[in-house]
Amino acid sequence: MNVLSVRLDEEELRHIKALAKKEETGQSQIARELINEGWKFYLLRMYKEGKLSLGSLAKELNMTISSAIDFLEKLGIPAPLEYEDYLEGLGLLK
Amino acid sequence: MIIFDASTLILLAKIGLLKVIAQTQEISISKEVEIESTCKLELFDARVINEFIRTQKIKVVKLSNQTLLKRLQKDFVLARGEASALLLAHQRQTILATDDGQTIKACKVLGVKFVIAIHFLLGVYYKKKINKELALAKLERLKNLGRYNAKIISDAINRIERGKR
Repeated sequence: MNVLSVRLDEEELRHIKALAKKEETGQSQIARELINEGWKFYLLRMYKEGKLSLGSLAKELNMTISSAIDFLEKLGIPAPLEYEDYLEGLGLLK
Repeated sequence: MIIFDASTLILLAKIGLLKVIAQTQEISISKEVEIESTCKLELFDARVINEFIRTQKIKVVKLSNQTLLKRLQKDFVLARGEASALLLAHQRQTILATDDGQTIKACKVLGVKFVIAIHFLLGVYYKKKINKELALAKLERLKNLGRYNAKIISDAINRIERGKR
């Protein structure tokens, strides 16, 4: 594992300490978990804003596309599809 | 012939509509999309898609231009499967089935016509391959899985209720 020194403000440190106590684990473990959760949140936000494709999201999350669809459904994250996109496709199928 | 990317293919497999759609449309996918959608065969949708490929209800096409594929991936920030499906549809001047917003943006730039999973549901309903009750039930499932906006779902419900295009 690599080592990275990070300066934290009072509130950030309080969050880590509180979670470590709650989960009965070390502060380093909690900090790593929060970084991973934050990364997922960032990717989901990028997807929701239409800046990341479903396939790229799945790849970054180490999931299959099928599992990513289920994951997005569970979280209720809307697909970045516009009503106009839907209207454009009507009538194209024979 | 319609080229599918993994998003629409998987959505239709998950709601159990792929079989009836394969009876009315010629479905083609790239090798990359095949890998993306069948890599975990313990998943129900992966097994369905795999079986359709095995029985040639879904045709797998190999892409020749890998350089162009990489360029599309980079230019539009797409995964390999999405870029390969887009490239195939563009090269063959055919419709691309995709439920991915980023891929749809790329379609608009490249002038590729696109459809989403709901269009197939409406299509098989208009062709009387499924009845109104089943169409509404599938739409309800698709609403959650596809996470479409309310306006799209409301319009699709109206079309099913009216029974015409």
